[in-house]
Amino acid sequence: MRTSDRQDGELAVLAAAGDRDAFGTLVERYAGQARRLARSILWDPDDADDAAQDGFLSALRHLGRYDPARPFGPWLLRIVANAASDRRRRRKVRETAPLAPDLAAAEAGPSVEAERSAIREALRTAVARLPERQAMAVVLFDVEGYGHREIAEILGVPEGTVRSDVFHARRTLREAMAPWQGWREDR
Amino acid sequence: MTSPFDHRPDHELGDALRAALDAGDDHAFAAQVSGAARELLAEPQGSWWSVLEPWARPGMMAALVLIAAMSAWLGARVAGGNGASPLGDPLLTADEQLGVPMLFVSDDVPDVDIILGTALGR
Repeated sequence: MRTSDRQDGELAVLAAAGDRDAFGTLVERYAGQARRLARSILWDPDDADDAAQDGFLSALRHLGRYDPARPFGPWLLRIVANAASDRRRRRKVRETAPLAPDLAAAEAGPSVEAERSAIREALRTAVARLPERQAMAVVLFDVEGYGHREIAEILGVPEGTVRSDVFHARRTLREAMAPWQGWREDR
Repeated sequence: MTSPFDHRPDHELGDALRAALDAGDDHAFAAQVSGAARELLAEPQGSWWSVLEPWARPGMMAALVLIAAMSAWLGARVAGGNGASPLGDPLLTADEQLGVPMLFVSDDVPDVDIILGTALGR
């Protein structure tokens, strides 16, 4: 069986035994989720990547503590969330002012791609202004597709708190993006 | 449009967030992490010692303090036990009290003259 065909639990056991390919496959599988989660609370993309990498390496060091009977994703993402949170605490987070649509349009020009880019920037700014836990909760729920229970496990809070965080985060993001026509069509 | 009270995933918001937060080129990132992991796994076994080294000095100090405390405690117990030993049999004369058995039950360091006297039959 090829390494890439194996389940997460099997790969984690192999990686814990020193199989580099198995760990590499896990990194490939979860790189996107880990980076997006880190970026949801760290403004700087390099900072977010460093936090995600710290999370992966920390997971590698502690693979012996992972229970293969449980899902690997939430276990890994909890470590990544902690790494990102620690890094955010250590850094003085840059204050981000919301980007006004007319200003962005004037800067970006009339092209569709420029407008999309401005919308993404505005959404990133809105996410960055969310409380840390809300930002992670909404990204894990609406982007990564995790359930409330799994997110509760990742963030170490009760399920009800996750529901509340997702609700408040969505409301704040919708309000922040309201001036942007067609932000929902941006892909 | 999904209601904000709806706890089903909001795919439109999710797609917009994904587009905003994607850093791109996950393969390059994964290669970078795998490289760092290789270095981590290639660390010599001696790294155990590098982890334990900072704890060596405090550990030694703690062990010494523990040994000193136990010695003091045992010393106090022994001294306390001897303190209750009898001073001597009041029915015996002074000469009789200087018998060999008294040398073994006395708390004090025996006098050299007494030892010699006892050995030479006084």
